Amino acid sequence: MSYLLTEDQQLIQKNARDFAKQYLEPMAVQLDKTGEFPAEVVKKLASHDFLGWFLPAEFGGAEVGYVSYALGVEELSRASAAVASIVVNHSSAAYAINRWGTAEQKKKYLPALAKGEKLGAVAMSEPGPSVGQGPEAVIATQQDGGYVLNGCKCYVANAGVADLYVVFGCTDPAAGAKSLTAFLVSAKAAGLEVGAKKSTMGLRARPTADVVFRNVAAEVLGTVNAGTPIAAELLAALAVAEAAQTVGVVGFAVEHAAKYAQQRVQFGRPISAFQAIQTILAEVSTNCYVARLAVYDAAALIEQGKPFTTEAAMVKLFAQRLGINSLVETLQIEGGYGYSEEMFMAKLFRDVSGTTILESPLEFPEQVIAASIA
Amino acid sequence: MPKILVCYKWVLDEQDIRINPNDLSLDVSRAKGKISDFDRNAIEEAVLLVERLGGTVDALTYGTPAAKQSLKDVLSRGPNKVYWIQDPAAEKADAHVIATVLAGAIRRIGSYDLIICGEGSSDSYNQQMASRLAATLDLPAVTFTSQITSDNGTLKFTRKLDDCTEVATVSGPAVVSVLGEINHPRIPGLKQVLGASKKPSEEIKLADLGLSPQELTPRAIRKSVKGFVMSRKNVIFKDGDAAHKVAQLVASLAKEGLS
Repeated sequence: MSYLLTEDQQLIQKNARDFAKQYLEPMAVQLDKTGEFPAEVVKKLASHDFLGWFLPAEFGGAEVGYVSYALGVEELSRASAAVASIVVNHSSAAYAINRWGTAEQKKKYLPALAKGEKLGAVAMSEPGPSVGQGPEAVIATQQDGGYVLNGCKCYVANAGVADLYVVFGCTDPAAGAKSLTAFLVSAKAAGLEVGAKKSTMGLRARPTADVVFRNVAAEVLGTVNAGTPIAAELLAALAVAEAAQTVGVVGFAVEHAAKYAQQRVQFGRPISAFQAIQTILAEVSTNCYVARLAVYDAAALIEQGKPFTTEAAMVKLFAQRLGINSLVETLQIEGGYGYSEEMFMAKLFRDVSGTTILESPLEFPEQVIAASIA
Repeated sequence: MPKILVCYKWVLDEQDIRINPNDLSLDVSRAKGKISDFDRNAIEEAVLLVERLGGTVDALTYGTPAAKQSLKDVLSRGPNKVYWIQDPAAEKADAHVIATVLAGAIRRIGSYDLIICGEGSSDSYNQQMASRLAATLDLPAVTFTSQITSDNGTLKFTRKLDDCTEVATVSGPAVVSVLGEINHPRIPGLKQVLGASKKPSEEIKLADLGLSPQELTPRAIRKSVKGFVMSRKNVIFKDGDAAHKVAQLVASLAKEGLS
């Protein structure tokens, strides 16, 4: 894969891997057990510019581009998909402001996000059946020259640790998605309440909670009633980053399983000599390699400012199938050893589903892809 | 404010090297390069010194054309400039040739207050470079340094020896080798990686160093390099009761020299 990467990208990839090895690997299993938010690690991420990847240098970002960002996310995910997920969801909020914010909003919010002085989150999902529907739908009402939000967003990643939320709400419930608008909301805003941290199957060190809005002041991000295309692009960019996470988790899992297979001896031979094991390793490695190429191709489209939502959906679709299936297979290789909660494989198994099902339902990619070609 | 030069080596990452089980030969076809581990400590120590005392850090390497990949990596770690000499024959160069070439380059570049090397390289680990450089340049050598401190402008070097530690000071320029424990090299951030592109690198042509063919001929010839594979004994103690089996195991281990 190196031939696609520039010298800088290869160096960034290597440094991210070294960072993950040094700071994340030693604590990954423990973080998974306790679910504790890794505040010190987040500070270290910030000091290595890992919270302002693609943000412009004028706002304190590293401005390395989306490919480098995806490379970094993959490497961090090898050690801790939970920590990588904190970075991804923070970066998603930063992406939204950088992409659709006014000059004043960028100047006001991006420097602190780039340096990791403040963390971001994106609040999109709701308990209701569709946009603007249900008693808890987030509705935006004009008030005092601005807007206030009422409603509830569920399963918000980085909820409770974020300082700034990108929130989607409807200005006219009857109009549904046509009135969807993106807003920026301070975590300190009066009336904003973060629910109890949810106990998730995986990605445990990344806080997830519901966020309730009661007359919470919000400023428009982008244009009023233009939130649907914003949400679509944001989800697509997020899908590429999450696919990079999946590739990181699967890549690490197959290497871990391969090493185990070389050491585990049965019937006088390492199990890596058995065809059944070789078949699993070959298929998982091949799928991971192909997924990686697709992720970086889609990331390159984002970096070059080209349309990418179809490619992002394809990458998401492939990663969804790759992720869970690969971990079932690699766990099979490690057997009882891998099934133990003290070992990495159990954590990887639970984490990988978090990288594939969150932020968009499984059906989303097929719809987008089919709509683009038929 | 010291002017420091760090000498480093671009080596193959041993994690990527595979051993052919049939003949124990090494397959390096997929091995990526890296800055030798202890040289990373040397670079870090130089940069830390300059952060504390002011001054500048340059880097210097002699290697095959693949060493070009090291330039941005080195610059991202703090040095202001990197010099490099490329030579396909560097692959087979011994410590004598490497020291001769580096010394020749140093004479050409200019004088430094401190020349820092790692204790030994990750590949051959000869632990000779600092001493050879010092002898060739007629400078004092301070080897196996585990700490460098400054006291009223005088640098103090703590050397970790087999049975004691020694503190040395040097007046005038010196060549120093550092141990891995001297520091924890920081991982460069994204901005440092990008900033490396803006720093200068200069290739010094081997031909311009005025070295004779004899000076460039290795005195130590590496005939072959084989891997080492730990093989299982595959011994099963199954006769007798548990106590008997344990006794057999202990005896077997003692026979192997483990007690």
